Amino acid sequence: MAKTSILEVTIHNVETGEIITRPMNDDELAQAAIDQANYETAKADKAQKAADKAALLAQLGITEEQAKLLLG
Amino acid sequence: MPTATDLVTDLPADFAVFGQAVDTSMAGLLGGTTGQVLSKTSATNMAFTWVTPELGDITAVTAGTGISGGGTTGAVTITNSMATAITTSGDLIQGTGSGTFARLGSGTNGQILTTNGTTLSWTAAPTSGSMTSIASGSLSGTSLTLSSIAQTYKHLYLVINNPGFTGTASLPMFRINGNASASNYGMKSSQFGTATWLNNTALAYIDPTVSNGTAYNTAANYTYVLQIENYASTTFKRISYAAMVGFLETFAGFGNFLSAAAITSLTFSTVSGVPTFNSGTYILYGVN
Repeated sequence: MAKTSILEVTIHNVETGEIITRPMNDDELAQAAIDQANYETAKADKAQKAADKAALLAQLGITEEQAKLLLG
Repeated sequence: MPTATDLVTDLPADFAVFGQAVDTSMAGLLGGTTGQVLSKTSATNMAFTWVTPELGDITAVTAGTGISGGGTTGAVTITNSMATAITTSGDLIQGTGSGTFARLGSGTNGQILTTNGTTLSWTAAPTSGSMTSIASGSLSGTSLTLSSIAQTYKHLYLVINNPGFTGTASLPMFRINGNASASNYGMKSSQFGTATWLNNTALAYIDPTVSNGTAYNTAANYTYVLQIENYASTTFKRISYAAMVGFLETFAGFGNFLSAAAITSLTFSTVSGVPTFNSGTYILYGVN
């Protein structure tokens, strides 16, 4: 049987010193899913921008350093 | 009959039976010279010999500095005066001059030892210019939340050391009060070695590596620090942060937490939200 991954959060109560680790509740799971989706989107955007930049430089026939020189 | 040199142990008995021999074992007590004393030579009865005692040359015990008692005859007692000056748990002994001392009673709870250059005394701990560790431990789970932060300090200083985690490489993030609204995080960051300042206001968290850091899941030589000014304020809170990622990448950022709520909790996690920490430590300081 495949092992089920349970996402847990650690909460350290600074006032009492109590430390508990418990499974994420529904709100926390939902936020983790949003964070993960945003991260994947940002990562894809970053990769796409890098690809677009490389393609443009190739189209212009110049290097990145030459492009910086032009814009500088 | 007993001879002239025999020692008689029970004269009447000796003579009760004519010709009875007498116990001559004490004949060994004969002899010796002036000043000698009798000494046992073994555990056997009547095993004695005369010996000359070794004489000591101590004629008196005199109490010196820090010692009391002494004497010239009989059992002599000397006492460590420093020890008897201590009357209560926590007492200290401090010098008051050459060869003199006095008891210094323990201070009260929270007091610290100070000096005016010549004399020690207990005084109240300073209420400013101090950092107090208010929470520390090891990272575990997918996130660490420091909750119920007392509002009794001026600033907060959080240090995360060597956070490692299982699973896919990711980047670290801080979140304040569990707030996941991008409009509340007005941050700008930069990576040292680049001339670009990135506007991170679109992020719903503080990103100490400016989204440019190398995603990782190991823990070697990574440190993140977060400073929050006037965290108990009900207006905007100024924040500065830094990330030292290995030996090659260093980041810094500044901004405001754009919320009127006082800060009562801080969360450290990863931007992808799911890796589980398997190493690393944290320590939160309250700063005055």
